[in-house]
Amino acid sequence: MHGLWRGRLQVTLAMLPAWIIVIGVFIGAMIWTFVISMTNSRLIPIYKFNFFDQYVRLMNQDAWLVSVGNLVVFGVLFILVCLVLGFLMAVMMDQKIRAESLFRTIFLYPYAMSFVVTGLVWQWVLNPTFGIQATMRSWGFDNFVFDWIVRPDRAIFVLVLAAVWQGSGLVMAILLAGLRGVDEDLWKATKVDGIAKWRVYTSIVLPIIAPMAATATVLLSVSVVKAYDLVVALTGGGPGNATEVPAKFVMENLFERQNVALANAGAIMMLAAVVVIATPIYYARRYMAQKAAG
Amino acid sequence: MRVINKALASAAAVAICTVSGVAQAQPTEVIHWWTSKAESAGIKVIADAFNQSGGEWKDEAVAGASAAKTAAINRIVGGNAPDAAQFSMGADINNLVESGLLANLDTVAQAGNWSQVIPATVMSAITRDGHIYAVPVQLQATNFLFASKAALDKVGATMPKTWDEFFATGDKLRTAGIVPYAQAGDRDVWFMNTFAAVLASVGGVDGWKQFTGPKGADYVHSDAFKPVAEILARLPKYADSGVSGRQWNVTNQMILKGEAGFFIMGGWAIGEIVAAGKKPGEDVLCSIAPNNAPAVVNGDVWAMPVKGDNLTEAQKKLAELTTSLEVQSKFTTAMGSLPIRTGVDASRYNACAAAGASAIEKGNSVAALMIPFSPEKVGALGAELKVLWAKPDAKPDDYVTAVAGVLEKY
Repeated sequence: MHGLWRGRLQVTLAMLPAWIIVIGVFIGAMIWTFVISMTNSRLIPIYKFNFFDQYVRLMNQDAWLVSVGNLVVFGVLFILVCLVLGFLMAVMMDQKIRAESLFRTIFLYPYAMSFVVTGLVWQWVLNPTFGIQATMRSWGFDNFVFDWIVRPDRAIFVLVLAAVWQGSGLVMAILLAGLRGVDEDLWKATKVDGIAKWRVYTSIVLPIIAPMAATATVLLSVSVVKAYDLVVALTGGGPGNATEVPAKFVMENLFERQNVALANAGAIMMLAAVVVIATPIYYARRYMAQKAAG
Repeated sequence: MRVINKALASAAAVAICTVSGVAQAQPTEVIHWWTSKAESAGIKVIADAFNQSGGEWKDEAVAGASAAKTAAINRIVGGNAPDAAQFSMGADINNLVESGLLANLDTVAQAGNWSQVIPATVMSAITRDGHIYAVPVQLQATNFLFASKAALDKVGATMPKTWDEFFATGDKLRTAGIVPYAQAGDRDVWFMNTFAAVLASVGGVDGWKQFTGPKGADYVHSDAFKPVAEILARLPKYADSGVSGRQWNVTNQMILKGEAGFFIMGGWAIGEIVAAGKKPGEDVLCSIAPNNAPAVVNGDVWAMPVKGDNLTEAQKKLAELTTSLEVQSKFTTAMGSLPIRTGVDASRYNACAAAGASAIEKGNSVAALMIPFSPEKVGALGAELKVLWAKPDAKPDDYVTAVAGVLEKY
């Protein structure tokens, strides 16, 4: 008994710093953000409350509504393409090829680059005046056009392109680990039954690595909501506001436009959106796990 | 007994050391964002003058204007304020003044006779409710029209004196395969800058006063503003397709290499031109936009956070030195910027800076939009202009509606 109690105390003490940080910093900062978003603060926090005024102003701003729309388009495309591409790359790597570590390094390397570097490099590559378009034209293809980065209707796809380049390596690594975990006997059984390899992957292996795919999706979603440095480096908000995202809106209002309260309202809206999406998924998974157990 | 004596002796020694430590003056901390090569040389002028007159300069450079302002504000609000912090001239410091966080500089201004030597536009930008709350450090003209001499020579043109000439030369440049007008597109503020240049050159000092006055929206809807909207709607067609996301110094390179004909940018571009080994005035021609436009002037100031009841000695010294004739001459020459007072020796200025200085001396200057307008208003204006630039079929009326909307809303 005494030993058990001592063990519990040690565990609690070890976890204490982490708990203090979570409660004090994360939750405390969230509460403070919410409080400020209900005030009239401009540059400096002033505790003069005007409640949901800032949220009303936010919803009336074209810039905010456009940026939310852009985020949805970017997020859905980015996650889908990353998952598909990552899965295909993992399947390729799973074929027991030679120089597998070399390929893995190459595919995973972009993830080592920060979003800022990614955005900047892709911006220079895709700029029509001295990027791909100019190079192809100097090689003789006079009518080659690839100016998606400056077209308001296509700029968001350029954002997806750069983000996918950066993120699909991570998905590949996660799914590859999952694929490696598939039992050898399963493969032998499918060979005995004479099932086509692609059928095995889609109908049998995919459900097995579904938890891994879920993990990858969560990681990618975090990148989507955080997307600020990529946007600033790649398009600066895009031609017009074609690639504005909520995170950029919040940062701009916090610093350059000296409007802390409005920025905080935007941040709380982003948090609310994440909670609204994540909560049903969390409860659905718990329900399915309970069903499987019981 | 011996132990007690030793203890007392060491305690006394420690006490003496601490007291002498306290008697030493704290170094003067100054936050600023002048980190590029030319800018560092400039701030060194002020630092050297400060050190020579007995002070101790502690440089707190932070790269990037937003980051530096944020650092300064965090420290001021957090209680560990620096002795001075760089801010943009004008509405930037309004919130700080309203919260009572900045010290009053009336005594220094009286002693230095600021109202006699500093132009009225600058004085009004640093005065709130009759009291002075910032030390003007330098001015910058933001509406220089730069032109690549090589490109102009190729089509046999000269610096345009009117907008019609500008567009005619632009047509000639386009047939010669040169981009007529280069625009930087990575931040909203560059579009606002171009707008300000066009407004100043069409409306002049009077039009500008009306635009920034209480009836600004009416002015925008009036006929006097129509040419501005028409020029703004025409400009995107004279630029290349790679505007969006392009940084200003990369756009500047297009002029230096002769790939583009014209460029509207502020005086900070002159530093880049010099650093690239070109001569302002010869390889790159410059003037204050067509139509003998007034110089659209913004600037930088030192904000002095409150430290006790009055200004500290160090703050007073910094304010006096920065506005002194000698430091202003050396500082603005090194920075390639414009002085905040009259009487500065402009003989060592390059051709572009000299044009700016003479415009200010003649009184042909207006305060940039970020001085009367809040940062929010300026940001919103830039954002609207950025959206309109990207619309291929934007008409002059769209510009009128968008600009008037910003003036009415904020």
